[in-house]
Amino acid sequence: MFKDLDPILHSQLRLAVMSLLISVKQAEFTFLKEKTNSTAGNLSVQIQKLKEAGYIEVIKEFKDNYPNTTCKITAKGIKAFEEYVKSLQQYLQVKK
Amino acid sequence: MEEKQLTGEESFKLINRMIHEAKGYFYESGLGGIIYGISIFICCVLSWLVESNTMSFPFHPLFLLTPVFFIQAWVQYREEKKKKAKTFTDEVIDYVWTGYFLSVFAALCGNFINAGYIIITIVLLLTAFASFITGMITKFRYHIICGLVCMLIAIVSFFVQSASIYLLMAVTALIVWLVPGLILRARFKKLYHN
Amino acid sequence: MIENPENNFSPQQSLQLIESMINRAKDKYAEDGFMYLLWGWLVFACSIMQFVLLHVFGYTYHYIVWLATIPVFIYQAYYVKKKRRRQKAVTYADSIISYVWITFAIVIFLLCFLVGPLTSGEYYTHIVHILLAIYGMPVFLTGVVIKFKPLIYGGIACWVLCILSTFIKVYDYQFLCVPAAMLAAWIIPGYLLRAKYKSQ
Repeated sequence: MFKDLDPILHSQLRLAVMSLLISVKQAEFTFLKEKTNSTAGNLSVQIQKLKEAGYIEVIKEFKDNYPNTTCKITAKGIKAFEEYVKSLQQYLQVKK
Repeated sequence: MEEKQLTGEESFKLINRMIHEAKGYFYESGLGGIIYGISIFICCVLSWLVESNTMSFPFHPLFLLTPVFFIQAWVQYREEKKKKAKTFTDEVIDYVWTGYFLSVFAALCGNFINAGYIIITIVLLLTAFASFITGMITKFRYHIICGLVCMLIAIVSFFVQSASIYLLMAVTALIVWLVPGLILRARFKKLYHN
Repeated sequence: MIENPENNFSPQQSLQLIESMINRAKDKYAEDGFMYLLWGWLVFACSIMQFVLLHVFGYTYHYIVWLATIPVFIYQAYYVKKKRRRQKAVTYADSIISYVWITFAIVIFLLCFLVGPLTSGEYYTHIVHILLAIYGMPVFLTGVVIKFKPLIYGGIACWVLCILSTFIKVYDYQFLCVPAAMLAAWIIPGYLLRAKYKSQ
C-alpha cells in the first residue's frame, strides 16, 4: 500500500522532525526534542539517519561552553518532503 | 513518540501538528522594545524642553541614544542566543528593523543641509512603515493598528514643524516600542515562567 | 496568533498549509523584473527631464513631468491583477513583498501629492534627501526576502546616495542623485533579475 512512500520519511519521529524543520529556518536539538516529545537517544539516531540520507544538515557548535547541535533542512530534504506529501495526497484521494 | 507503522491519515495529521508547533514557537522577551520605548521617550521629552528653551543641556539630547543603541545590541545578542529555533518570520522581522535603522540613519544626515524638523517627520513615516510591515508579517494586530496610528501622527507632524514635534515622537515611542514590548513581556512570562 | 491545529481544520486547509511551508522553505521566487525595469526607466527619465527643465530652461513647473507616473500606476494595477489570476499559489515572499511596496506607495503618495500642497511645500527643497532615505528600505527588504544580492546592494546604494546628497550644495544637482539611485536600485537589478528568470 505504501510502496511509493519514501521509507526514510515514513516513520513517525523522522517525519515529525522533517515537518518541524520545513517550517523554520533552523532549529536546535533541544527544540526538536521538546516538540516531538522524544528521548534524546532515539532522536539522535533518527537525526543521524536523516543526515546520512542528505535530507538535513547538522551543525555542531558551542553555546556558553556546552555543545549545541543545530539542524537545518537541505534542498534535497525539501524535495523529498514535497514528493512524500504528494504521494500521501494521492493515496488519500484514492481512498475517498 | 514510539515507532509504529503509520497510516496515510496519521502521517498527514502528524505533519500538520508539527508545522503548527513550529509556527507557534515564540521567544520574545520584549526587553528590547521596553528599553527603546523608555529611552526614546525620555530623549524626545528632553529635546522638546531644550528646543523650546525651557531647559539647557550641554549637547543635543538625542545623542544620548547612541549608548542606548549599544546596550540594546548587547541585550539583543544575548536574547538571540537563548532562542532555540529561528523561524523565517523572525529573520524577516530582523531585517525590517535593520532596514529601518539604516533608513533613519540616512535621514538623520539631513542635519548637514539643515533640513530641520522635517527629518523627524520622515523618521515618523519610517517608523509607521516598519511597524505596519511587522504587523502584517506576524499577524500581530496591535502592530498593524499602531502602524496606522503612526502614519496619522506623521501626517499631523507635517503641520507641526516646531519643537513640539518631539512630543509627537515621544508618543510614537510609547506606542511603537513600549506598549508592544510590555504586551510581549507579559505573554513571555506567562509562557516560560509558569 | 497561535491557532489550535486539532479543531476545525479541513484536509484542504491542512494541505494548503503544508504546501505554503514547502514553498517558503524552497525560496522559489519567480520574478521577471519587468516592473522594476518599467518603474526604473520611468523615474530615471522623469528625473532627468525635471533636471533639464529646472537647470537648463529654468521652468517653474518643472515637477509637472511626474504626472507621467499616474498612467503607469494604473497600468501596474491592471498588470498585477492579471498576474494574480495566472499565479496559482501566493508564496510567503510574494505576500511580504507586496505589503512592503503597498506601504511604500502610500508613504510616497502622502509625501508627494497630499501633504506637500497642504503645507505650502517648504520641505520640497529637501525632497531628494527624504525620498532616498525612504526609498532604500523597500528595495533592501525585497532583496533580503527574495535573497537577491543586487537588490540588497541597491538599497544600500540608496542610503549612501541619500547621505551624499546632503553634501551637494546646489539644489539642481541634488536631483541627479535620483536617476543614479534608479540605476542602482531598479534598472541594474531589474536586468539581472530578468537574466536570472530567463535562465531558469
